[in-house]
Amino acid sequence: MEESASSWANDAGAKISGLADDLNERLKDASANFRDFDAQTRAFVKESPFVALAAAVAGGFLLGRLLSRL
Amino acid sequence: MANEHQPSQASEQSGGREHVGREERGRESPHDGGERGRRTSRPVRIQERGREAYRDAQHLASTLEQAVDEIGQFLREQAEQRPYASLATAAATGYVLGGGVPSRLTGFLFGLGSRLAVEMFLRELIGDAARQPSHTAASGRP
Repeated sequence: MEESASSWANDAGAKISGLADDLNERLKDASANFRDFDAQTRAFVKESPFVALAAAVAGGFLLGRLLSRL
Repeated sequence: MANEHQPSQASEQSGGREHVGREERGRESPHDGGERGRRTSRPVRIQERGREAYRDAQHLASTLEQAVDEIGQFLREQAEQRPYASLATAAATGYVLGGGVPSRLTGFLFGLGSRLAVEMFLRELIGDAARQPSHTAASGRP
């Protein structure tokens, strides 16, 4: 009985540890992706600022147009 | 004899005056202010006005070009230094132009934001007021 309980606890601990590792990996991936996105956005805005600003204005305009009907 | 000669003298005198008048009118330059001068100076004045207008238009065009260059430079600098703030400002401008301001969602978000801002301001105010008496007590002032 004790052995089964300890093995269950070990299994649960291993699973939780695996989940934590998985979550950690995912967070690291998400962080790396966010950093890539940030670098790409900054580079694009630096290379062609007017296109980026025009795209932002157009996006805001469309959003405002859509939300004005709500 | 003298009376007989008077009309002829008068005619001669008047004829002489007419002659002189014609000569003078012929000699008048366009800028003298005479009738003929006025007639001939009108196209010149129009031409001068046209030149002035052209110069003014050129000046305006160069000023506008300079202003556009400066605005472009400012936008470029802002976009390089604060890319996300610039994009957010541009998107907000588009949102306002798109007519999203009077929507219920905007009203709700604006109300929420203003309430949060008031709450933060009051907290800071209360925190400052709470800190002040302890500060004066520590310094030993009455």
